[in-house]
Amino acid sequence: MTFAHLALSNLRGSWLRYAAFLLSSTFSVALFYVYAQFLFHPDVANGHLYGGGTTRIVLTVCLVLIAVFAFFFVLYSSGAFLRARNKEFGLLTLMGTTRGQLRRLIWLENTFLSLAAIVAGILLGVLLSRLFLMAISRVLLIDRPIDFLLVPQALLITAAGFFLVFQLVTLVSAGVIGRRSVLDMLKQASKPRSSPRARPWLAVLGLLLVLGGYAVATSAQGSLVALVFVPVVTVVIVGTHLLFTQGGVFLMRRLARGRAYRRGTRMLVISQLVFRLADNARLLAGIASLSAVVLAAAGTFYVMSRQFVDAVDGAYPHALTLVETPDDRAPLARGDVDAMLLEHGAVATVAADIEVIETLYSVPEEEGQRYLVLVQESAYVTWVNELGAPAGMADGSYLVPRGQVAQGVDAAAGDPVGPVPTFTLHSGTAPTPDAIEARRVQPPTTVPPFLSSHWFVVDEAAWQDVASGTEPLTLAVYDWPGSDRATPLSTAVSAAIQEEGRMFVADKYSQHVLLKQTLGLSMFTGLFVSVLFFIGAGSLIYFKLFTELPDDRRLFARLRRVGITRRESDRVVSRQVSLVFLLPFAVGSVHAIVALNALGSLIGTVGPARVAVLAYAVTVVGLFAAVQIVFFLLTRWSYLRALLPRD
Amino acid sequence: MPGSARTNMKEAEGQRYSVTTEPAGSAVLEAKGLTKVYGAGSKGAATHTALEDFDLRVVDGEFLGIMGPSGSGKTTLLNLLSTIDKPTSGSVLIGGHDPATMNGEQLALFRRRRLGFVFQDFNLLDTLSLRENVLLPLVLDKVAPREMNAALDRVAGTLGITGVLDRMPFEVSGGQQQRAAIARAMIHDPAVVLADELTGNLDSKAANDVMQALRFLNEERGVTVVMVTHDPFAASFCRRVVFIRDGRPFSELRRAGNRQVFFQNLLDALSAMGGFA
Repeated sequence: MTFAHLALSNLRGSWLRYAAFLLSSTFSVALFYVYAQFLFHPDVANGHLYGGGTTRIVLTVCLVLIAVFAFFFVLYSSGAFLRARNKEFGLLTLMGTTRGQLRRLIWLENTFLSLAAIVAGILLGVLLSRLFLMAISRVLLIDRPIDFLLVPQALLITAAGFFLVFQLVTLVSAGVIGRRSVLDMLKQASKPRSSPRARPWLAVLGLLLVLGGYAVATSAQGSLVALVFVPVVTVVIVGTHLLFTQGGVFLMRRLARGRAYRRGTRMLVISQLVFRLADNARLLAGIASLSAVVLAAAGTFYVMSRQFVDAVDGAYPHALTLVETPDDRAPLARGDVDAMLLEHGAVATVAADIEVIETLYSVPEEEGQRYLVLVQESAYVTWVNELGAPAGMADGSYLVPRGQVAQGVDAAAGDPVGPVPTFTLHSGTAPTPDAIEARRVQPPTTVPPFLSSHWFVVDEAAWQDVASGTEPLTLAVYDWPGSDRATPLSTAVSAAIQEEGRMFVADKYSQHVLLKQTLGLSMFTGLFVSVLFFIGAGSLIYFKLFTELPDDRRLFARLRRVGITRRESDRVVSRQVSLVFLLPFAVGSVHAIVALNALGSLIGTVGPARVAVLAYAVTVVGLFAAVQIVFFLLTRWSYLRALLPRD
Repeated sequence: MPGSARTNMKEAEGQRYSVTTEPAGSAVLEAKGLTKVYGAGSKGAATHTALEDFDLRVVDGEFLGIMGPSGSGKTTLLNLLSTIDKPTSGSVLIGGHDPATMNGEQLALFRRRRLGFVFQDFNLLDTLSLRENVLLPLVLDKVAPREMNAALDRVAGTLGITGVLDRMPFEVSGGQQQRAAIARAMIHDPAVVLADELTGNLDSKAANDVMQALRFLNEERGVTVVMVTHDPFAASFCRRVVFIRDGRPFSELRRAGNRQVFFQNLLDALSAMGGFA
């Protein structure tokens, strides 16, 4: 039997013990591979990504972070794994295995294991990215954001990188094992550790660092945010680390001194948590910080894309608008729309007309001429009030010389007729008898490209003036439920317009499709990165929990004899698992919300828009919180099942 | 004044379970026709009868030892008596209660309130101090702090662990750990304390300390003890020893004279049984 045989039969023999380590390593590899495959994908490397270079830099930084994270994770789980086998190594040494042989054995085992993890991880990664692409196409209503490809660069980097990581980790842990005394090894398997202590001032320092970082991030305005970004992130990460390594233990020890400590299961929960937090502090702090980064990134993508969607929704408040020209050039007539509504059994929630006049004007401080759309003020007000259309002033008021507006344009030809009226900025003075006031307003409905010029309201006298020279156009506006979604009606209308050309009609759904296609890759990236990360982070905690299963099993077997009820042990386990699982995520969420609030300041939003940015941030965090809670419930369920025998 | 201590115990039980107080000397634990067959449920598996038609009666205030060679059914018997395992047939009555009629939840509460356990490997929780370990049954039952401390003072003094209560289990000796485990087993005045090879992991000095403490509790406090062991030294502290072999009662010895004589009797009985230990 050669040494390689011994290593292999070790692996075969205690398969279950290796399983947790192997699975978690496999998952790290898969995570990294999926990510790398995405980053090096030709479509992403060369294609159009919203935010361009910055996004790519963010992605690369994330990849590096994942690599660092993977290294420490592998180091960590390998350490825990080898510790559990101390006794075995002690026995081998006792039987005369030399240190060098022991190191070689560990190296061989780990090399076999790492090769298995790399192969399995890449296979899993390929499968995951395929599934993810399929899922995302469904969500984003686009054929395929990017093609499914095997990217050689990613394969190479993953395989080589992880082989290096595993080798490094093996060298470190084999070195540690090689230096232990036989007695230590034999004893250590069951050696309980002394109760962890915390330095209160470090815990307080951690809290101060985090709060200080928050204060700076919140108070920084505009471009200052970009300036303080790196220092604040550093300070908050250090603070988070201290909070987890010192603060958690400190808090638990304080709780252990509390009045209610020795009452019911609380004593068990807290005394266990002191150890569990101390053991996992670094992992949890890492996950908290990374959660913050990823949530903030996902939030940024979301805020940006929501701003686009909001802009489109603002410009297209209603499902469909037709321009009824005197010579009937619109591709769809009212009759067609009514027929389609009837065919799909839909009832229009809005079916109204509004009259406008299109005319041409020039502004002294601008070169050239512009089209403008005039609406009668009373019609506009009624329209806005009754249909809940967007209203609002923009860019101030203008004075229109009376009598000249009549010489607008021939709507049919689009050519100016006669001299073009000159608009002057209404600088606070009252309209003179020879001028009328035209106030700039938001278009109150979905506007076809033909009329997408500036909209003004004028009073009735002015309207009469203008209308006497130019025939008003009638806009027929429709709305129906779900007009921004791919309902049969929306798609039918959109298709009809596609065929006929879009100059005189506009529909909301086509705009949404266009928007989704434009934002597709960016949204895909944001979603992809964050979903991936959260699956990864959740799994790491999951696997970490399961490495502690044997200890917990022993503990609860003891408690069962003392007479703990099923419900009580459920509670003890649930509290612990929930804290370990959800605490990093909660801390990361708070970080991310503060960061996104700062982002709101960076992109210069104020007032309601600032509130909207925060609301979007909370939406993203809430969404991922829901995912994380589902993950937690699954973990708790499977952990309890594995831990406690059914009565 | 062992009598008064026993009365107190009975009163406490009466409050919790409202059972009528039995006269002293009545059976606190009674097993009838206990049989345990392993592998009986699964088809084709080899069955093994660990315990067969075993009767046992333990009266209030007794200190009973159960001895037997490895594989004789000692541990099976103790598991059945302690409600951790269920018999294939036969019945167990503890303080007038039949564990077979209880569900998992009730069983756990029953163990917590009416039984005390001492194990070979102490079974203390590493993450709790000795004080917390001892208090655990009361903490789980949400007993008021004042009451808990009074109970702790009573047992800790007797067992000589008052000075080490705030240490963690691994910071004290095996003997101290086992005495803490005994304190935990009896802090709630259980109907019976069940001990499994409690001297197995101790050196002779510590074993002596632990057994002396247990005897003191039995004689002065009236605690009923059932102890499984294959150590004749530990068994010599008992007042009655039942020998078990191949899952059946083999013989029984009662202590008449002093402990040295009883120890010799036990050794004789063991060698007569086929020699072990």
